[in-house]
Amino acid sequence: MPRDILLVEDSLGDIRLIREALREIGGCHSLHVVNDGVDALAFLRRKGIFGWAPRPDLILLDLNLPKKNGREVLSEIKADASLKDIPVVVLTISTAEEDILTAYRLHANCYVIKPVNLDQFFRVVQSIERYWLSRDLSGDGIWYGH
Amino acid sequence: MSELGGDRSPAHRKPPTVISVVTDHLGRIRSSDGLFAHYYGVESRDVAGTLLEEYVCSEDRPYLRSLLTAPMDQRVDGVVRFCLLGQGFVPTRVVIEPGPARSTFAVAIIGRDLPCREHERGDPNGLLLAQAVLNQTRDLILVLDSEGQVLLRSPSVKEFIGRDPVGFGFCKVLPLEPDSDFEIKKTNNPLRASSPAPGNGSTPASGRYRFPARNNRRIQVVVDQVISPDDPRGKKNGSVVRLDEETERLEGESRMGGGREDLSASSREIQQFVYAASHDLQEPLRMVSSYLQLLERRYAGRLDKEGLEFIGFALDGAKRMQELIDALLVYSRVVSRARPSGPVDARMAVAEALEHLEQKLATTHAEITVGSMPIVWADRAQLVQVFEHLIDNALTYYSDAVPRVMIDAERLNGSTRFRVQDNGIGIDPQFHNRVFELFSRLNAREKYPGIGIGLAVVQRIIERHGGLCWVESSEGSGSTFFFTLPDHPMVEDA
Repeated sequence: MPRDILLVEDSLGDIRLIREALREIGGCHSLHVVNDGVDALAFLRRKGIFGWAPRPDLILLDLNLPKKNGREVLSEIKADASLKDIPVVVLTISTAEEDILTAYRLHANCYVIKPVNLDQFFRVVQSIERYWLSRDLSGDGIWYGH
Repeated sequence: MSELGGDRSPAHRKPPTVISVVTDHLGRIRSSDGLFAHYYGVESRDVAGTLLEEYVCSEDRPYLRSLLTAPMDQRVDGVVRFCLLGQGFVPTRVVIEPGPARSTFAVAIIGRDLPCREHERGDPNGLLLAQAVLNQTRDLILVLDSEGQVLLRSPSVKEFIGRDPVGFGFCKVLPLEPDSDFEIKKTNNPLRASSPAPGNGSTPASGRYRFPARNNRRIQVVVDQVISPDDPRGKKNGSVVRLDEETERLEGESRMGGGREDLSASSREIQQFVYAASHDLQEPLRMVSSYLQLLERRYAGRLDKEGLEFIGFALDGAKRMQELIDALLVYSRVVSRARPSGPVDARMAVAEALEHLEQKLATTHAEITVGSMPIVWADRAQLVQVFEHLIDNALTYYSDAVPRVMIDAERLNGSTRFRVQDNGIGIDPQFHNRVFELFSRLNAREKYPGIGIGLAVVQRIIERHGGLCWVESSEGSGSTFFFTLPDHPMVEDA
């Protein structure tokens, strides 16, 4: 059964990198991409053009997004009874302590800093996939997980 | 001493009684006022040396300890149950602040509705009335007792000094210096013949002063001798002191002052710029290096040797740019992540720095000697950073011999001078000033790694602390880095 991942990210480069990393793992994923916070919530609530949208098994959320930022999206997801049990991985470049703390306060399931090194980046995406979708704990990467 | 200031307690309640105690960092009482012994049932002379927590309900002791070990950058406030003579455990507010000497705490125990002592009935010395009058003024007015201790103050004094001076010696909380500039310019004025003397040591004399702890602000001090309010028999002299801030400034000075403000505004702007730039630059850079790496990963087989070499150079450039951005962030954080200073055991700071360098110490087999280290007034994390960079430096630029690093400190008048000495490659004296510049390097990158950030950070931290740093060295004979940290104005020699 394909696993649905919702990626909320506005950087085309990062979207492609995540796609490439998932492709290297193999397996069956469908990666749905939205580019801003408003679309992310519309997708999750199947509003407007997202009427067809599946319920994702995992959300990868960038913090700096146009329209509605990642913190707002996160707090809306976690305040919504029908969405709050979807695991959310906050994926960002920010190493600011307060961003990490805010994310956890808003009940992010995991906070991952996008590494600069490509191999590391691929390993992080792969370990997210393994941990949250395959429940295989052997991955490594930069973790600030629960 | 009764707290008569600020707090407006309801009219039907008598003002809280403030009992002052000074403890060391373990909570051992160094001194206390007479009230402490009176209320907590011991002889005054037996109080010193006992632990403050002995007077507290055992369940509250860990909490009291946690208050005493909190970072000393601000006052902490809590409620613990003190065993009040004849009344058992009474929840009592304690306010803990950095004490008058290094590594001490001033603990104010604020008792409400304590049983009256004979002399507290009414307001025989007029202190309550005097405080009520002081509360109505915006002037800077203090009342001192015969020893020069501050008994009362107007509310704005606290803002001016940055802390409540009540209970402290005037000359300790407000270290003033005679305004010599002013004197030189006005010596020919016969009306101004008397030069401001620092008073009799504990009480100031009228005159013009500078306040070094507050940007050398100029202050005119006006002292009136009165009968000391703490001596109802009227044999001792106290004083009422008014501080007038000089508003008229000499022309040149006001220009300088204006310049200083501009400078701080523009340095704030630079600060924000550096932070934003280094943060926002990372994103595109990450794309450059990620896709170069992806290119290498996917197309390595289809590129010839030269093509791979070009990718190698591009990646190397991206990596160096990342290092420079990281360095800019580190440099900007010296200010943006600074914390207020407090007492720091320099020996612990060195130990922590060595811990961070553990790996490098192991690979270089360096010998580290640490001499006597005092407690100093600093931002703890930043002092660790200073030692870390200086020791790291010594472990990087070593010659053929096993690196030997000697760290020690010497107390000077008003400051502490630290020394980090190595037996490394040394520095040609003509470059001594350049080593502290940001991104300046004296050696080939291939031979000695690094991007020239460490010493720039050291200098920025030391300057932020009001100290100086410099190096003494000649090529081939090791280097000695020095830095000084000034004593905190509130810290006296312990």
